[in-house]
Amino acid sequence: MLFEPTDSLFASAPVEQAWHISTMASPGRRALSGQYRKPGLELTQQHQEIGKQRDPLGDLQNWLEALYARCARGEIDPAIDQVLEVFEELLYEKKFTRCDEVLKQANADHLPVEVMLALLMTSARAREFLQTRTGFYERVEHRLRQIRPDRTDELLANLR
Amino acid sequence: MGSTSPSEPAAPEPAAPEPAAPEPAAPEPAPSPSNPSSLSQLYKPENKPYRDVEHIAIAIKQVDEEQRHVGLLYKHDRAQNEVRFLHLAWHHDLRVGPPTKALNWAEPKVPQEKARILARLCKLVGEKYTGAFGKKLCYAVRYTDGRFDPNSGEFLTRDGRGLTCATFVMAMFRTYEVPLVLQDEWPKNREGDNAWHEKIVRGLTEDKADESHIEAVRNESDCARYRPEEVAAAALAEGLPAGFQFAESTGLLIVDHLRKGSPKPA
Repeated sequence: MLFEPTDSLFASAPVEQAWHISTMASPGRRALSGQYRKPGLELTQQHQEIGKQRDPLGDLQNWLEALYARCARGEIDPAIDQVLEVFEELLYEKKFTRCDEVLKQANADHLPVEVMLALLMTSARAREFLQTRTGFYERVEHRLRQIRPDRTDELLANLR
Repeated sequence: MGSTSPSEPAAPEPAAPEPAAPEPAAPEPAPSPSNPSSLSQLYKPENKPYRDVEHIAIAIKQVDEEQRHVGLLYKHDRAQNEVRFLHLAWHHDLRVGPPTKALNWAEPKVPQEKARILARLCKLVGEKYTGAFGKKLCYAVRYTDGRFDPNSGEFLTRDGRGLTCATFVMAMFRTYEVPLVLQDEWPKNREGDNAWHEKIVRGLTEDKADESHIEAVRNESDCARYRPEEVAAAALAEGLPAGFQFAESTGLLIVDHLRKGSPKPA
Protein backbone atom coordinates (compact mmCIF):
# COMPACT_ATOMS: atom_id res chain seq x y z
CA MET A 1 0.00 0.00 0.00
CA LEU A 2 1.45 3.29 -1.00
CA PHE A 3 1.73 5.92 1.63
CA GLU A 4 -0.44 8.89 1.00
CA PRO A 5 0.52 11.91 3.04
CA THR A 6 -2.40 13.47 4.67
CA ASP A 7 -2.85 17.02 5.73
CA SER A 8 -3.33 15.90 9.27
CA LEU A 9 0.00 14.04 9.40
CA PHE A 10 2.09 16.93 8.13
CA ALA A 11 0.08 19.47 9.94
CA SER A 12 0.86 17.76 13.20
CA ALA A 13 4.65 17.80 12.76
CA PRO A 14 6.83 20.87 12.54
CA VAL A 15 8.65 21.30 9.23
CA GLU A 16 12.04 20.21 10.58
CA GLN A 17 10.48 17.05 11.96
CA ALA A 18 8.54 16.18 8.83
CA TRP A 19 11.20 13.65 7.82
CA HIS A 20 11.22 11.96 11.17
CA ILE A 21 8.07 10.09 10.38
CA SER A 22 8.41 6.52 11.56
CA THR A 23 8.85 3.76 9.03
CA MET A 24 5.76 2.18 10.44
CA ALA A 25 3.79 5.18 9.34
CA SER A 26 5.77 5.47 6.16
CA PRO A 27 6.63 2.14 4.55
CA GLY A 28 8.41 3.88 1.68
CA ARG A 29 11.04 5.12 4.09
CA ARG A 30 12.02 1.60 5.10
CA ALA A 31 14.29 1.43 2.09
CA LEU A 32 16.39 4.21 3.52
CA SER A 33 17.00 2.34 6.74
CA GLY A 34 17.61 -0.99 5.05
CA GLN A 35 18.57 -1.38 1.44
CA TYR A 36 20.59 1.84 1.11
CA ARG A 37 21.92 2.05 4.61
CA LYS A 38 25.35 0.56 3.97
CA PRO A 39 26.23 2.51 0.80
CA GLY A 40 24.80 5.60 2.46
CA LEU A 41 27.11 5.20 5.41
CA GLU A 42 30.10 4.55 3.13
CA LEU A 43 29.34 7.71 1.20
CA THR A 44 29.12 9.66 4.43
CA GLN A 45 32.47 8.29 5.56
CA GLN A 46 34.06 9.21 2.24
CA HIS A 47 32.75 12.74 2.61
CA GLN A 48 34.17 12.93 6.09
CA GLU A 49 37.60 11.99 4.71
CA ILE A 50 37.54 14.92 2.31
CA GLY A 51 39.48 17.79 3.78
CA LYS A 52 41.52 15.60 6.09
CA GLN A 53 45.29 15.65 5.57
CA ARG A 54 46.35 12.50 3.82
CA ASP A 55 49.44 10.68 4.99
CA PRO A 56 52.06 11.27 2.27
CA LEU A 57 54.02 8.25 3.45
CA GLY A 58 51.25 5.66 3.46
CA ASP A 59 52.38 2.20 4.41
CA LEU A 60 56.00 2.48 5.50
CA GLN A 61 57.10 -0.97 4.38
CA ASN A 62 55.58 -0.47 0.93
CA TRP A 63 57.21 2.93 0.70
CA LEU A 64 60.61 1.53 1.62
CA GLU A 65 60.24 -1.40 -0.77
CA ALA A 66 59.45 1.02 -3.59
CA LEU A 67 62.51 3.05 -2.65
CA TYR A 68 64.81 0.03 -2.54
CA ALA A 69 63.44 -1.17 -5.87
CA ARG A 70 64.14 2.17 -7.51
CA CYS A 71 67.64 2.17 -6.11
CA ALA A 72 68.24 -1.39 -7.29
CA ARG A 73 67.18 -0.39 -10.80
CA GLY A 74 69.58 2.54 -10.72
CA GLU A 75 66.77 5.12 -10.81
CA ILE A 76 68.57 7.57 -8.60
CA ASP A 77 66.68 10.77 -9.47
CA PRO A 78 63.24 9.18 -8.92
CA ALA A 79 64.49 7.70 -5.65
CA ILE A 80 65.69 11.12 -4.47
CA ASP A 81 62.37 12.62 -5.57
CA GLN A 82 60.52 10.01 -3.54
CA VAL A 83 62.50 10.93 -0.43
CA LEU A 84 62.27 14.69 -0.83
CA GLU A 85 58.58 14.78 -1.70
CA VAL A 86 57.60 12.76 1.35
CA PHE A 87 59.92 14.46 3.80
CA GLU A 88 59.08 17.98 2.68
CA GLU A 89 55.42 17.13 3.09
CA LEU A 90 55.88 15.44 6.46
CA LEU A 91 57.96 18.32 7.77
CA TYR A 92 55.43 20.82 6.46
CA GLU A 93 52.72 19.01 8.41
CA LYS A 94 55.06 18.59 11.42
CA LYS A 95 54.67 14.83 11.33
CA PHE A 96 58.03 14.25 12.95
CA THR A 97 57.05 10.83 14.25
CA ARG A 98 56.53 9.60 10.70
CA CYS A 99 59.93 10.98 9.71
CA ASP A 100 61.40 9.15 12.67
CA GLU A 101 59.81 5.90 11.52
CA VAL A 102 61.45 6.23 8.10
CA LEU A 103 64.85 7.02 9.54
CA LYS A 104 64.60 4.17 11.99
CA GLN A 105 63.61 1.60 9.38
CA ALA A 106 65.67 2.73 6.39
CA ASN A 107 68.44 0.29 5.62
CA ALA A 108 71.54 2.17 4.54
CA ASP A 109 72.95 -0.99 2.96
CA HIS A 110 70.16 -0.90 0.37
CA LEU A 111 70.63 2.74 -0.55
CA PRO A 112 73.11 4.45 -2.84
CA VAL A 113 75.10 7.38 -1.50
CA GLU A 114 72.81 9.99 -3.03
CA VAL A 115 69.69 8.59 -1.38
CA MET A 116 71.36 8.22 2.01
CA LEU A 117 72.46 11.82 1.77
CA ALA A 118 69.01 12.91 0.59
CA LEU A 119 67.50 11.49 3.78
CA LEU A 120 70.08 13.30 5.89
CA MET A 121 69.92 16.59 3.99
CA THR A 122 66.16 16.89 3.88
CA SER A 123 65.81 16.03 7.57
CA ALA A 124 68.73 18.16 8.77
CA ARG A 125 66.79 21.31 9.57
CA ALA A 126 64.40 19.36 11.77
CA ARG A 127 67.15 17.43 13.53
CA GLU A 128 66.17 18.77 16.95
CA PHE A 129 62.70 17.26 16.55
CA LEU A 130 63.83 13.88 15.23
CA GLN A 131 64.88 11.22 17.68
CA THR A 132 66.03 8.51 15.27
CA ARG A 133 68.04 10.73 12.95
CA THR A 134 71.26 10.39 14.92
CA GLY A 135 71.05 6.61 14.65
CA PHE A 136 70.51 6.83 10.91
CA TYR A 137 73.41 9.26 10.58
CA GLU A 138 75.67 6.79 12.36
CA ARG A 139 74.59 3.95 10.09
CA VAL A 140 75.27 6.11 7.04
CA GLU A 141 78.64 7.15 8.38
CA HIS A 142 79.54 3.52 9.02
CA ARG A 143 78.52 2.60 5.48
CA LEU A 144 80.35 5.52 3.89
CA ARG A 145 83.53 4.64 5.77
CA GLN A 146 83.32 1.28 3.98
CA ILE A 147 82.44 2.43 0.46
CA ARG A 148 83.80 6.03 0.31
CA PRO A 149 86.45 6.12 3.01
CA ASP A 150 88.33 9.04 1.46
CA ARG A 151 85.22 11.21 1.04
CA THR A 152 83.14 10.38 4.09
CA ASP A 153 83.89 13.60 5.95
CA GLU A 154 83.31 15.72 2.85
CA LEU A 155 79.97 14.06 2.15
CA LEU A 156 78.75 14.31 5.72
CA ALA A 157 79.84 17.92 6.28
CA ASN A 158 77.19 19.87 8.24
CA LEU A 159 74.85 16.88 8.30
CA ARG A 160 75.35 15.50 11.80
CA MET B 1 80.43 49.60 -9.63
CA GLY B 2 78.24 47.03 -8.07
CA SER B 3 78.73 48.62 -4.69
CA THR B 4 76.21 51.31 -5.37
CA SER B 5 73.78 49.59 -7.63
CA PRO B 6 70.40 48.27 -6.70
CA SER B 7 70.24 44.80 -8.11
CA GLU B 8 66.79 43.43 -7.54
CA PRO B 9 64.07 42.91 -8.52
CA ALA B 10 64.41 41.50 -11.96
CA ALA B 11 62.37 42.54 -14.88
CA PRO B 12 59.78 39.92 -15.76
CA GLU B 13 61.37 37.04 -17.54
CA PRO B 14 59.92 36.31 -20.97
CA ALA B 15 58.44 32.86 -20.92
CA ALA B 16 59.42 31.94 -24.44
CA PRO B 17 61.63 28.87 -24.54
CA GLU B 18 65.11 29.39 -25.70
CA PRO B 19 66.92 27.08 -28.06
CA ALA B 20 68.81 24.82 -25.73
CA ALA B 21 71.72 24.09 -27.95
CA PRO B 22 73.71 26.99 -29.33
CA GLU B 23 76.68 26.06 -31.45
CA PRO B 24 79.38 24.70 -29.20
CA ALA B 25 82.59 26.62 -29.10
CA ALA B 26 85.70 26.53 -27.04
CA PRO B 27 84.97 27.70 -23.49
CA GLU B 28 85.98 31.29 -23.24
CA PRO B 29 87.79 32.52 -20.18
CA ALA B 30 86.03 35.66 -19.09
CA PRO B 31 88.16 38.75 -19.53
CA SER B 32 89.25 40.69 -16.52
CA PRO B 33 92.21 43.01 -16.42
CA SER B 34 92.87 42.50 -12.74
CA ASN B 35 92.37 38.77 -12.48
CA PRO B 36 92.15 37.00 -15.80
CA SER B 37 91.65 33.53 -14.39
CA SER B 38 89.12 34.16 -11.65
CA LEU B 39 86.12 34.13 -13.97
CA SER B 40 87.30 31.30 -16.17
CA GLN B 41 84.53 29.07 -14.84
CA LEU B 42 81.77 31.61 -15.40
CA TYR B 43 80.23 30.49 -18.68
CA LYS B 44 78.06 32.09 -21.29
CA PRO B 45 75.56 29.85 -23.06
CA GLU B 46 77.16 30.49 -26.42
CA ASN B 47 80.44 29.16 -25.06
CA LYS B 48 79.11 26.38 -22.89
CA PRO B 49 75.42 25.50 -23.33
CA TYR B 50 73.09 25.22 -20.39
CA ARG B 51 72.63 21.53 -21.05
CA ASP B 52 76.19 21.07 -19.78
CA VAL B 53 75.01 21.87 -16.27
CA GLU B 54 75.72 18.60 -14.53
CA HIS B 55 73.34 19.10 -11.60
CA ILE B 56 73.00 22.66 -10.37
CA ALA B 57 74.53 26.03 -11.19
CA ILE B 58 74.15 29.62 -10.12
CA ALA B 59 73.15 31.87 -13.00
CA ILE B 60 73.31 35.64 -13.18
CA LYS B 61 72.32 38.19 -15.74
CA GLN B 62 72.43 41.92 -16.24
CA VAL B 63 68.90 43.31 -16.24
CA ASP B 64 69.92 46.89 -16.91
CA GLU B 65 72.92 49.10 -16.24
CA GLU B 66 72.38 49.10 -12.48
CA GLN B 67 70.50 45.89 -11.93
CA ARG B 68 71.42 42.24 -11.89
CA HIS B 69 69.40 39.13 -11.19
CA VAL B 70 70.49 35.72 -9.92
CA GLY B 71 68.84 32.32 -9.88
CA LEU B 72 69.48 28.62 -10.21
CA LEU B 73 69.97 26.45 -13.26
CA TYR B 74 69.27 22.83 -12.55
CA LYS B 75 69.00 19.56 -14.39
CA HIS B 76 65.27 19.00 -14.49
CA ASP B 77 65.20 15.86 -16.58
CA ARG B 78 68.35 13.83 -17.03
CA ALA B 79 66.97 11.61 -19.79
CA GLN B 80 65.92 14.62 -21.88
CA ASN B 81 68.98 16.59 -20.77
CA GLU B 82 66.60 19.38 -19.85
CA VAL B 83 67.84 22.29 -17.76
CA ARG B 84 65.51 24.83 -16.14
CA PHE B 85 65.95 28.20 -14.50
CA LEU B 86 64.42 28.70 -11.05
CA HIS B 87 64.43 32.22 -9.67
CA LEU B 88 62.56 34.58 -7.41
CA ALA B 89 61.61 37.35 -9.81
CA TRP B 90 59.65 39.46 -7.36
CA HIS B 91 57.17 39.41 -4.50
CA HIS B 92 55.08 36.22 -4.74
CA ASP B 93 56.64 35.57 -8.11
CA LEU B 94 58.85 32.51 -8.11
CA ARG B 95 59.40 31.32 -11.64
CA VAL B 96 60.70 28.23 -13.29
CA GLY B 97 61.15 27.53 -16.96
CA PRO B 98 63.60 27.26 -19.81
CA PRO B 99 66.57 29.57 -19.30
CA THR B 100 66.83 32.69 -21.39
CA LYS B 101 70.02 33.27 -23.28
CA ALA B 102 71.36 36.14 -21.23
CA LEU B 103 72.49 34.05 -18.28
CA ASN B 104 76.08 33.57 -17.25
CA TRP B 105 76.49 30.50 -15.10
CA ALA B 106 78.90 28.65 -12.86
CA GLU B 107 78.72 25.44 -10.90
CA PRO B 108 79.56 25.74 -7.20
CA LYS B 109 82.13 23.34 -5.79
CA VAL B 110 79.72 20.98 -4.10
CA PRO B 111 80.20 17.19 -4.01
CA GLN B 112 78.37 15.78 -7.02
CA GLU B 113 76.14 13.63 -4.84
CA LYS B 114 74.93 16.67 -2.93
CA ALA B 115 74.62 18.78 -6.07
CA ARG B 116 72.31 16.15 -7.51
CA ILE B 117 70.07 16.32 -4.43
CA LEU B 118 70.01 20.12 -4.58
CA ALA B 119 68.89 19.90 -8.20
CA ARG B 120 66.00 17.66 -7.16
CA LEU B 121 65.11 20.17 -4.46
CA CYS B 122 64.95 22.83 -7.17
CA LYS B 123 62.56 20.64 -9.13
CA LEU B 124 60.37 20.12 -6.09
CA VAL B 125 60.31 23.80 -5.15
CA GLY B 126 59.62 24.72 -8.77
CA GLU B 127 56.56 22.50 -8.69
CA LYS B 128 55.40 23.48 -5.22
CA TYR B 129 55.89 27.22 -5.18
CA THR B 130 55.14 28.27 -8.73
CA GLY B 131 51.93 28.52 -10.69
CA ALA B 132 48.53 29.91 -9.80
CA PHE B 133 47.94 27.40 -7.02
CA GLY B 134 51.48 27.26 -5.70
CA LYS B 135 52.51 28.51 -2.30
CA LYS B 136 53.77 32.05 -2.35
CA LEU B 137 57.23 33.33 -1.57
CA CYS B 138 57.43 36.83 -0.17
CA TYR B 139 60.05 39.29 -1.28
CA ALA B 140 61.94 41.05 1.49
CA VAL B 141 65.35 42.28 2.44
CA ARG B 142 66.60 40.90 5.72
CA TYR B 143 68.21 37.46 5.66
CA THR B 144 69.69 35.68 8.61
CA ASP B 145 68.85 32.03 8.36
CA GLY B 146 66.39 31.59 5.58
CA ARG B 147 65.31 28.08 4.81
CA PHE B 148 62.20 25.99 4.87
CA ASP B 149 60.99 26.26 8.41
CA PRO B 150 59.43 23.01 9.58
CA ASN B 151 57.52 24.87 12.28
CA SER B 152 55.74 27.23 9.95
CA GLY B 153 56.08 25.15 6.84
CA GLU B 154 57.04 28.33 5.05
CA PHE B 155 60.15 29.18 3.14
CA LEU B 156 60.86 32.35 5.02
CA THR B 157 63.57 33.83 7.13
CA ARG B 158 63.22 33.53 10.87
CA ASP B 159 63.24 37.22 11.65
CA GLY B 160 62.63 38.51 8.16
CA ARG B 161 59.62 38.44 5.93
CA GLY B 162 60.92 36.80 2.84
CA LEU B 163 63.78 36.60 0.42
CA THR B 164 65.42 38.45 -2.43
CA CYS B 165 66.56 36.76 -5.60
CA ALA B 166 70.01 36.43 -4.03
CA THR B 167 68.91 35.18 -0.62
CA PHE B 168 66.53 32.77 -2.30
CA VAL B 169 69.55 31.11 -3.91
CA MET B 170 71.37 31.13 -0.57
CA ALA B 171 68.36 29.68 1.20
CA MET B 172 68.00 26.84 -1.27
CA PHE B 173 71.52 25.69 -0.48
CA ARG B 174 71.22 26.49 3.22
CA THR B 175 68.06 24.42 3.53
CA TYR B 176 70.08 21.34 2.77
CA GLU B 177 73.07 22.37 4.85
CA VAL B 178 75.29 23.60 2.04
CA PRO B 179 76.03 27.19 3.07
CA LEU B 180 77.17 29.29 0.13
CA VAL B 181 78.65 32.23 2.03
CA LEU B 182 79.97 33.08 5.47
CA GLN B 183 77.05 35.25 6.49
CA ASP B 184 78.71 36.58 9.64
CA GLU B 185 81.26 38.40 7.49
CA TRP B 186 78.70 40.44 5.56
CA PRO B 187 78.70 44.09 6.59
CA LYS B 188 75.55 46.12 7.10
CA ASN B 189 74.64 49.39 5.47
CA ARG B 190 77.10 49.47 2.62
CA GLU B 191 77.04 52.31 0.16
CA GLY B 192 74.05 51.96 -2.11
CA ASP B 193 72.10 49.68 0.21
CA ASN B 194 69.73 52.41 1.36
CA ALA B 195 68.86 53.43 -2.18
CA TRP B 196 68.23 49.80 -3.06
CA HIS B 197 66.11 49.30 0.05
CA GLU B 198 63.99 52.33 -0.80
CA LYS B 199 63.58 51.02 -4.32
CA ILE B 200 62.29 47.68 -3.01
CA VAL B 201 59.79 49.37 -0.68
CA ARG B 202 58.66 51.62 -3.52
CA GLY B 203 58.21 48.63 -5.80
CA LEU B 204 56.18 46.72 -3.23
CA THR B 205 54.02 49.77 -2.66
CA GLU B 206 53.41 50.25 -6.37
CA ASP B 207 52.52 46.60 -6.68
CA LYS B 208 50.02 46.98 -3.85
CA ALA B 209 51.59 44.30 -1.70
CA ASP B 210 50.06 43.62 1.69
CA GLU B 211 50.41 46.73 3.85
CA SER B 212 51.85 44.84 6.82
CA HIS B 213 54.45 43.26 4.55
CA ILE B 214 55.46 46.62 3.14
CA GLU B 215 55.80 48.01 6.64
CA ALA B 216 57.91 45.05 7.74
CA VAL B 217 60.22 45.45 4.75
CA ARG B 218 60.43 49.19 5.39
CA ASN B 219 61.78 48.38 8.85
CA GLU B 220 64.44 46.07 7.46
CA SER B 221 66.83 48.82 6.48
CA ASP B 222 69.50 47.97 9.07
CA CYS B 223 70.66 44.63 7.73
CA ALA B 224 73.30 42.99 5.60
CA ARG B 225 72.56 42.88 1.94
CA TYR B 226 73.76 39.97 -0.17
CA ARG B 227 74.11 41.17 -3.72
CA PRO B 228 73.34 38.95 -6.69
CA GLU B 229 76.90 39.14 -8.00
CA GLU B 230 78.29 38.17 -4.59
CA VAL B 231 76.11 35.10 -4.40
CA ALA B 232 77.09 34.22 -7.96
CA ALA B 233 80.72 34.69 -6.95
CA ALA B 234 80.34 31.92 -4.37
CA ALA B 235 79.98 29.52 -7.27
CA LEU B 236 83.51 30.44 -8.31
CA ALA B 237 85.05 29.92 -4.88
CA GLU B 238 87.45 27.02 -4.46
CA GLY B 239 85.63 25.96 -1.33
CA LEU B 240 82.32 26.76 0.32
CA PRO B 241 81.24 28.75 2.16
CA ALA B 242 82.77 31.77 0.44
CA GLY B 243 84.02 34.67 2.53
CA PHE B 244 82.94 38.26 2.06
CA GLN B 245 86.25 39.50 0.75
CA PHE B 246 86.32 36.93 -2.04
CA ALA B 247 82.63 37.35 -2.86
CA GLU B 248 82.80 41.14 -2.99
CA SER B 249 85.93 41.35 -5.15
CA THR B 250 84.84 38.56 -7.47
CA GLY B 251 81.36 40.06 -7.56
CA LEU B 252 82.80 43.30 -8.89
CA LEU B 253 84.59 41.37 -11.62
CA ILE B 254 81.33 39.66 -12.52
CA VAL B 255 79.55 43.02 -12.76
CA ASP B 256 82.27 44.29 -15.04
CA HIS B 257 82.09 41.12 -17.10
CA LEU B 258 78.31 41.31 -17.44
CA ARG B 259 78.39 44.96 -18.48
CA LYS B 260 80.92 44.24 -21.16
CA GLY B 261 78.74 41.40 -22.41
CA SER B 262 75.53 43.42 -22.42
CA PRO B 263 74.83 45.30 -25.62
CA LYS B 264 74.11 48.93 -24.95
CA PRO B 265 70.73 50.21 -26.06
CA ALA B 266 70.86 52.27 -29.23
